[in-house]
Amino acid sequence: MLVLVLGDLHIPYRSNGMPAKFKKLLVPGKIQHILCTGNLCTKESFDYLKTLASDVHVVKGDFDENLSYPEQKVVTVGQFKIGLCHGHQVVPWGDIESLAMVQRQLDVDILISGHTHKFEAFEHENKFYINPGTATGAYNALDSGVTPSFVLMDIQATTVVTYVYQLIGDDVKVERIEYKK
Amino acid sequence: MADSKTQRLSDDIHSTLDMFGNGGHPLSGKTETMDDRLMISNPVYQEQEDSNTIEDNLFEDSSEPSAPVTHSYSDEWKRLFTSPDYIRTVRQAALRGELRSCRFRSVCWRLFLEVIPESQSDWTYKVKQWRSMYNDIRDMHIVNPRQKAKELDLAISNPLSQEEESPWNQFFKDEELREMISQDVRRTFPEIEFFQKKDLREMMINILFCYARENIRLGYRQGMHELLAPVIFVLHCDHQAFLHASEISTTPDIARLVLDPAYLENDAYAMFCQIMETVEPWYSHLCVETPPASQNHDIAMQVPFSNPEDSAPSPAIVTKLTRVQDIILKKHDHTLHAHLRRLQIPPQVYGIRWIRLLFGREFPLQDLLFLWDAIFSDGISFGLVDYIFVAMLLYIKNLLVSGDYQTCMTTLMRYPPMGDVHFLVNKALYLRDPKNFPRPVNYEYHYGHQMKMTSDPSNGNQDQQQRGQRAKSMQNVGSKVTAGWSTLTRKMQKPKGGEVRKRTMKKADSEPETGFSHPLEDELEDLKATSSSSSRAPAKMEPLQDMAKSPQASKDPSLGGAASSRRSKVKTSMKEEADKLQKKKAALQSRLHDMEAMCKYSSSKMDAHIGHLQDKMLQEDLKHEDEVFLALAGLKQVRDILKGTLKFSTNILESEEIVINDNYFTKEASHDQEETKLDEENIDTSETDSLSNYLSQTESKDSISTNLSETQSRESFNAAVVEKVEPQPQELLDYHHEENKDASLKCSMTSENTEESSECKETQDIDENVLKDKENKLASGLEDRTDDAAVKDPGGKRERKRSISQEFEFVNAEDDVTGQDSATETEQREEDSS
Repeated sequence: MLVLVLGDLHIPYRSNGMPAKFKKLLVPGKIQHILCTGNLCTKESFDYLKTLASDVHVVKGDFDENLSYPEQKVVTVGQFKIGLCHGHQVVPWGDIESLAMVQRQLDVDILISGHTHKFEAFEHENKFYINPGTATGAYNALDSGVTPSFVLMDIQATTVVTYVYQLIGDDVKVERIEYKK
Repeated sequence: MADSKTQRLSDDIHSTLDMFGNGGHPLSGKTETMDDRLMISNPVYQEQEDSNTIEDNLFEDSSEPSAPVTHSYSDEWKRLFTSPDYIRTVRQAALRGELRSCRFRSVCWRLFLEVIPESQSDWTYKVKQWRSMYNDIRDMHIVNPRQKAKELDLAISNPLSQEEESPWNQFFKDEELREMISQDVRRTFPEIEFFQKKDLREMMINILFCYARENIRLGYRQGMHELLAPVIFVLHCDHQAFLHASEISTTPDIARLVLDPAYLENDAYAMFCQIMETVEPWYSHLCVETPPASQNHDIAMQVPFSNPEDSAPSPAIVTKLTRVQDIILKKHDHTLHAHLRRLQIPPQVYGIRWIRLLFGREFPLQDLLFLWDAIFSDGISFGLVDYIFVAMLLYIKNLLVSGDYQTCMTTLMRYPPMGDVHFLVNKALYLRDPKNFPRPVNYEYHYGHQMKMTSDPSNGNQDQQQRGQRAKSMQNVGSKVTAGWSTLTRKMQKPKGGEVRKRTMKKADSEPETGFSHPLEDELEDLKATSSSSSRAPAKMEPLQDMAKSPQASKDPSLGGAASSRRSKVKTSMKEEADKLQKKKAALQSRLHDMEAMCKYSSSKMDAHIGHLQDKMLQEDLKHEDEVFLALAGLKQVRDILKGTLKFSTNILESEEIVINDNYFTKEASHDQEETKLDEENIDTSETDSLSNYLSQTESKDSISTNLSETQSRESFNAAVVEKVEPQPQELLDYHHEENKDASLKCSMTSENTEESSECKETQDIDENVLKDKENKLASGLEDRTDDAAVKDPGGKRERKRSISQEFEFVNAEDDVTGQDSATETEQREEDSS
């Protein structure tokens, strides 16, 4: 089962849209679920995600127009409990220990967070943490040289294979990380 | 003690049945339906000239299918597959319908489909080859991109990759295809639980998927799943039989290999492939290759007034269907062809489904499997399909020809349930090769029944002009005929049943219950029916119509051999026709005599049994005496119908609902009660047996008295019974007696005439007599019970009585008409024949 993880689009405030190369990769029919870490900002971005898959989960970022998104969300895909949180609430931003606290609160196998605009995927205390970065390459408060990236999870029984798509220069680079429960 | 009595009685009945069988009556079909419904092996044409031989063989045939049951598994295997010329034996068995109960049907199919070769020494090799081939195909096409991904460059083999060579790309395409297939598979035979199992569906999806991937050009098309499903079903059944047999005893080694349940999927794939080999063009959307010249849409090139659809290139299936309709159907039935053409119903509207699914939607599964037995056994090219197609059309011809566009479309899209599929196969074989395959023996019989539905209302008045009305009257008539039957069997059915009910009744009636019908009646109906319709012969001379058609009435197999030659000469001179008619008449007359003898025999038997029954019952003080005696009276009526002294007519039912106007009896709830009572006694032979246990062991004497005396004695006995039940006003009885005498005189007079004039036996007098007879019986039986009921609710009763009496008048009026009609009909006939 393919799950697309992305976030921090910041359209139209910090970026005018997804890179064309990413848009070309993302076609309807392949992806079953979308988990978004927030900061879509406008409804149009949400509608775009809806065209890729019917099942879209979004949590509220600090720039989202839509205030009805939840702060945190837990989604179960296959045998995995996946926690979703934008990350601006977790200080220090992107800190492993702080995130581990959220993970324990939500009691999830995989915690997905964003806000740092920097891709990260690692195992910590046998739990898996993913930060998909920003899909548009929008700048963040502390850094302007940001690489656009998103993550695709292929969930099979007790295994998650994570594909990381990064736009480096003009090429899409793919990495593969495996996590076993 | 009681057992031995039952034994003797049942022996007696069996011998009676035997005699029926030798009489060549369709009853032979009836006996086996009682034995085992699955083993209906209806008479199949065989190369005989002598009618007696045919009939004898028919009966042998019907007893044959019980043989495999007694045989052990390996014996059956030996019987089918070990003789030197076994393939021919198997093919013939398939055509005779013997594979219905065979435990090696799948093996036979594999033989027919050339999945396994004829020489058995190669079976092992070939079976293994097919199985390993499927394994390879499956491994090749059903892939998991996750396994392959590790070996390939991540830039290419990632889930979102758009590269052609990416395994993921193929994976998503495959998923789409599988989803499409599984949507269809989920809807396969929803009424059969076997196909609802998850693993089975998965297997079907795999097979269809592999086939689609192997045949990229065709891919998967809707309908393929319905071809695969029966194949899997047959394989599964055989596997179960094999497992069962191997638990009990040893099985042949080769069978163990061929019927290995572990290879269900592989074997199904092999068979499916071979079926598709032939069927593939019918699924293809590709147009038939046409030379470029004809592609040129130059206005000058086009034939004026031609149908634009004709000239356009069309897919193979359309070409095929057009060929079937425009050549085969036209050759065998011009009327029907012209009718369909006039209504502009192209064959592809209904035919695509028929052909693509090999008639899978038109018949229930068991019948379908037999039909496939025949189609497959005929050869890998499935040439029989075209002719079955035409035979199906001919079977429903009357519905089609009499119907408008709407009716035709409905009938074609929802093919009416068919009693006996053997008939279709025989008919198809005959259509294809009339020289080598005699006309199906039971053709007229079934056809006659179908016709009966349509021709009865107009009874004598069977002009072509009536055709149009027939469709309308179908509904009424259907129920009327049904009603007629139900009186015979004492099944109380309300004639105003729904459409569906009517259908099922029709089917039920045309099959097993025929055994109870009056054979003469059948014969006559057939004669009427066939002469009224323009059957299959394309003769067109209007005054000759009746004569030209009457050869069709031939049910006599002795003339069946000559039928083909006759058919070719339909348009010969009038004189020849007359000669033939004479011959036919003679044959029919002899047959009529046979039937009469049979009826007399059975009625005398029945008479004797009833006599014993009644004696015993008069001695004993029974609790529900009156009901039992009424039942007895009903039995007697049946006997009289058998004997011919009481004419069977559809009006008997109406008589049930009549109450004499000037005495205040009504048929109340008790009426129903007694109906069921009678019902039980009449249809259930075992019931009769148990009743007969009351009888003393005296054998029946073969006293065949004349019609008149018979009726009188019956009448006096009736009076006795009635008196026993309830004292009856003497004058009414006397009147009744007189009436009956009168009628029976007429009966005996008419029965001396030829069969043509006997058509109009249904004179009004007899009908009236029957009605009155019934009234009296009813009244006498119900007087005491209904009396007080009538007092309680006089108003309502009276009203109902009024309506019933109106109905009564209506029936009488109708009888008048039919009587006249039949009279004119006879006159016409006599003119013609002179």
